Amino acid sequence: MSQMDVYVLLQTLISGILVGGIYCLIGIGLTVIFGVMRVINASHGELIMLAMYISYFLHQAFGLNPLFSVVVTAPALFLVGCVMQRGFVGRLRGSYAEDNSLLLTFGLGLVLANSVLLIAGADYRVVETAYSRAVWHVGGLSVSVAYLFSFGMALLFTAALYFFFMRSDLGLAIRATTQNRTAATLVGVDVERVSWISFGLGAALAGVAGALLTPIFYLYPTVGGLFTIKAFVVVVLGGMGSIVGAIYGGLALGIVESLGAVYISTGYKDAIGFIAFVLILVFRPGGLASGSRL
Amino acid sequence: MDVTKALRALVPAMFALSAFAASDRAQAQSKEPIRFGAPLALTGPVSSFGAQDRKAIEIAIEEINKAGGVGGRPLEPVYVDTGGKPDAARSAAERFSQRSDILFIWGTSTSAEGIVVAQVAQRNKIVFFTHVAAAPDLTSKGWDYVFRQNPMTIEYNLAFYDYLLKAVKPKSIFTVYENTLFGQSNNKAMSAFAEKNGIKYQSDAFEGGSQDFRPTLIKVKAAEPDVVFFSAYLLDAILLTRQARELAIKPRMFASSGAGFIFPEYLKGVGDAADNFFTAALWSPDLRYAGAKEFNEKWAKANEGNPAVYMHASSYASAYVITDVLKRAKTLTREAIKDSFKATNLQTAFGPVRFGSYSRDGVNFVNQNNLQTILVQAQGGKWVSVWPPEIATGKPIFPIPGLKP
Repeated sequence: MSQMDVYVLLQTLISGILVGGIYCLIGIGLTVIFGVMRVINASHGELIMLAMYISYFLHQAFGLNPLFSVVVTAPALFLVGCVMQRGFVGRLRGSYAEDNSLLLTFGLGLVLANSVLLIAGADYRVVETAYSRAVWHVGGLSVSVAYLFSFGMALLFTAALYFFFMRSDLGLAIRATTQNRTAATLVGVDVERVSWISFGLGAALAGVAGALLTPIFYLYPTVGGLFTIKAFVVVVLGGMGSIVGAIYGGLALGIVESLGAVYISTGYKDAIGFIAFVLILVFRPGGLASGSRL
Repeated sequence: MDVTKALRALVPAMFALSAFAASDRAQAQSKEPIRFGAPLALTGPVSSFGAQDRKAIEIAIEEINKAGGVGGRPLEPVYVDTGGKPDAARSAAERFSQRSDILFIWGTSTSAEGIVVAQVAQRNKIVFFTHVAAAPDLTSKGWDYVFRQNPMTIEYNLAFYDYLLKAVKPKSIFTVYENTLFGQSNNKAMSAFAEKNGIKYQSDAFEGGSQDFRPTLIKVKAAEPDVVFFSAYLLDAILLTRQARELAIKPRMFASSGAGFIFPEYLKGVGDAADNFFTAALWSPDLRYAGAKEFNEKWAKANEGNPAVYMHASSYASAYVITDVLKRAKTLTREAIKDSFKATNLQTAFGPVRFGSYSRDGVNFVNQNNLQTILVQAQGGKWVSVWPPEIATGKPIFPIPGLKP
């Protein structure tokens, strides 16, 4: 294996891990809503898109670095999530609630995307900051600082979520609600409150993702579709109900896509990712993290 | 009530009314606008092309209409938003063909749309006049009703090839291109050039909108080419450039095929990452064409100081070509207009316009304007024309500091 072959392999792996980190970040919010609460939120991508636009306009108007806009996007999206849950998703009742939430949230996603289209227009937008182009050169390999930072934040938030769910009362209450809604009510959990807080939390995490992605992706009203698909793959691949699973899922997807794109074909990158997804589920139906406690 | 009496009063009243109506119509007739179809991408991923083309032609149309239009009649483009989608362009063209007041069709924003509009126009015997669609197929099928003012993709890079052969003399080229008709035809053209001149050639395609181009760029870096050639639309162009710099790819020269790279938003979006990039272009405000500089000033005034790019100039100039065609047409019918287009010979701010037949690389083209293309380079944050020396006013910087010598 020549030096160039080694370089290609290492750089491909690094690239895959970093893109995987982005996938983790995108998937985290959905981990809470879909992974833990089992509510299908087909508008997850649109929530991220919304946060990106908020971040973009803050940058345009005040020169605010998108990374700092997290302090605006996270609470703003928390509110959006609460409204979605209280106003719409929480009203679904009955045995078909889970199936109906797909349709409902899909519709909400369409409304969000088209509202942004109406207000902000269809123009594609991009943010240029020094951070967007910062690179670390490590022994001939290149690491994008922006991607690395996003990965770091994904890990950080996953750890925070883990402790939240394992150690805090509210986290315990959420898990109880997910396991058995009636039993949770019986032991004194305010199930309604738990529901909108969790949804808000998931949306707030989407808000964090949006702010971090603004410097490195270009945005347009329908960019959410891309994110939603990847987020679902990440969460299911990692294992439903597993907080840590999003990390495994994101990394696995990123690495497989990267290797596939470089060594097989760039054009089939997405297809290779999905094939791997299917295969992994065939052999490990619970997802990559099945067997771990959370 | 006596019905007979009422009727007897009604008939002369109707005649009187119809006389008024007729005279009204006769008056409107002289100011009746001359309409043509304009299917453009006003929303969607290539909306910057469509929206700006519209802005540019409107500048010309306002000037032309203020000067009396064509025989006192104003020009009136009928815009239809295609979203950049060929299917939408096809249905727009069909509907235009069915309307008796539409004399010809002008546009489009992408080659993919242009080819379908050309087919529909040819079938319905209505002229399709394109000022910007560049895939060769539009004028290589012998379609009598299709006229093209701008050079084709296989010609885009002629100044670039000339420069490569005369000044750069590369041993290898790697092309990274977006996977639709525009990118594919660019790739084909570069590949043919490389083969003809014994230059090693590799290429990789990407899906527009994929945000992450690193897998492709890793392959580029591994190949260590002398020249890296990009063919992409705007946002992909920005991310490609950023990621290429991130991966520290160092060929002797980065070049691209116009389109996304030529917009001022590109240079703004990449900062100094694009310093000394070359781009094949069809026009530059600093060329020695009468009216070029003036149009650029008008455009900049209306667009926050941004310089005009070739699409804008071509769009602007096409309105003057249209006016010249309509003035020379024996009658304002679709057939006569086609004949008038054929006889065009006009100097414009975009360059000379004559629709003729010629062949290139063994393929025959008809109704194609044979316009010289150029090479521009990003110098000090602006695109400067650097080749060919006869019409360019700047000088190329090569070898490029920071890259392979």
